[in-house]
Amino acid sequence: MAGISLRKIRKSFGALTVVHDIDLEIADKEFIILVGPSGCGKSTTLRMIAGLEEVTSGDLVIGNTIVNDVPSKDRDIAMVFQNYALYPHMTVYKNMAFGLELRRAPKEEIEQKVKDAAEILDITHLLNRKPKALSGGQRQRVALGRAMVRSPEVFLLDEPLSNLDAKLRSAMRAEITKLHRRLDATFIYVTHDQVEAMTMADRIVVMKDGHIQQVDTPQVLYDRPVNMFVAGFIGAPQMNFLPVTITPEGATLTASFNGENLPLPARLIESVSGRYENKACVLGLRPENFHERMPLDVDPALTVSMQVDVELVEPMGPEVHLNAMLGGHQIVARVSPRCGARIGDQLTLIADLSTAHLFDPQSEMALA
Amino acid sequence: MNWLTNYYFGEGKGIDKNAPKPTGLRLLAHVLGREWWELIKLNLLFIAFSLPLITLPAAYGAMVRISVEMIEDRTVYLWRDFWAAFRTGFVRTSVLGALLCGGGLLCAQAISTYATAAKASLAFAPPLAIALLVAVALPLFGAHLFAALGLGRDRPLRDVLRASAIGVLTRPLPGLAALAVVALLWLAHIWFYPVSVLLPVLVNFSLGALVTSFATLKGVRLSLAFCTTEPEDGAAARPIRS
Repeated sequence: MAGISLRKIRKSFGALTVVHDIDLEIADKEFIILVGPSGCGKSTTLRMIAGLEEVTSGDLVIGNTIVNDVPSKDRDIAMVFQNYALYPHMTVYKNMAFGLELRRAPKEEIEQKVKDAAEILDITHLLNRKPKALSGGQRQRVALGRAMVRSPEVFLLDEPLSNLDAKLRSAMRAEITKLHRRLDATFIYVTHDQVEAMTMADRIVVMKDGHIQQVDTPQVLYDRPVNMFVAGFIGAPQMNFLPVTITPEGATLTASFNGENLPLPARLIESVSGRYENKACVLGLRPENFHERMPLDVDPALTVSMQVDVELVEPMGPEVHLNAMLGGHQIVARVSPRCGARIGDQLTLIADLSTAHLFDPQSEMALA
Repeated sequence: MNWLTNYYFGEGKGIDKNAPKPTGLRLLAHVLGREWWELIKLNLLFIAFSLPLITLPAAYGAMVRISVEMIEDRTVYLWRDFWAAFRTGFVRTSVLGALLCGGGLLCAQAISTYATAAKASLAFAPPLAIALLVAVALPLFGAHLFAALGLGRDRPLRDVLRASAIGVLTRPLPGLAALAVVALLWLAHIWFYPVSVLLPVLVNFSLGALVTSFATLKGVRLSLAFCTTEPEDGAAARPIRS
């Protein structure tokens, strides 16, 4: 069992607190990803779990044991660093075997484990080579292999793909996910890349300024972000935020934007009803909520036509990202490549509000 | 100093899994490029272990065994593997080394005697030629023998001796070429002395062992396969560590 509990964990460097009393339960064999912008405390949290940073206060529990004062080597964890941290003077084999040698494991066992890990990672042909000769991807595999040979209960990965090119990163994402299934161990992975987080994780922990913003599955984070930060951070291109005023219209409520009343879905009306009438809110619309023509699978009552001025067209292949001005606000719309929009065009887009979000402008918390 | 840091820590081109494996002299160059620093350390280790003189054959045997591992592209833990090879092969290599040295001394004596006698009478020319031939064949056999000991360390001595003899007879030219390289290494040391004073300390022994092992390995491997008296279970391919 290698469930991990972070209970009111705090990390301070002198007067500066970088992790603020966070609570987190990580289940055994879970693949959990800590994601957030630079400086949000995700790597520090990981390093505390690894035992490379002391916990200022709170309890760090692995299995059933509080490990705050347990040395890193005794925590049954293995860490893969961003820069791989391979020993340049050692061959791949020696790099992988080093940890086991320090633990005085029998030579036969070391050989077997290195061989097995090398086969899984397809690096058998590299075993007698030094890191200098290896490409980034190969080094990354070696770093993973070095962690694997120790057969730890928990793998900690600190932005392991950030030094790779886009193509290789995509390939390695899939490999790490497969590896997690194969090894059946707990993976805690740190990244600032939300695509990595979305594609690999069982659950994602979104962090900002040393606080956990939301912990949930990728789809829930995408569909039901708890605040504007999560809504903006998860999803690429990010969610569009438009300032609106909640306006009563007959028996219902609408969101008034740029002199136009936008219809709201029942769940949003319910959440703002009685609290936000005639008050300002922030409307969140994903780029895919904009369409160049009326889609068949949405309720027409929850759509509205909007005139936008196209400022930039980004062809992505299967789709086009339009950067446009809407009522003085910059938005990004994800439309079909066949829409034929060009820079400077004035375009009418259909906004689908059925999956829109509303946020409180002060607290930035979601209202539904 | 950035260039040094980049050289040491920088990313390489990567190694293609499906790239054709180098053969022949390219393989030798590949091994030299990869293991040059280990060869220097191996040379120093050999010198240190040979200082009592009586340990020289065992140290040479261990050095050849390490060279074989390098050629076979296996991971080498220099100190550990050298010591293991030295310890486990001590008796065998010492006895065989002593016999080879004795043979060499006899040969030198015979050449000296017959050369003097041949000046007086041409009747001594044939034995002189035979002595010279043996003087060349003996180190050639020695090179094959030590390579065979390194490769077939778990094999009976009879197999190893037979394989070495067959190796000498079937593929003598690579071995002779390797011996010529070794001779050149030492001649270079003598010719360029004192500039070359560090040559024996740094590379002469280990490089010589690597080159002779490389040259004789193919013949020895084929011969060992031919001289099987026990069922093969891949013993010859097993790494040194035990």
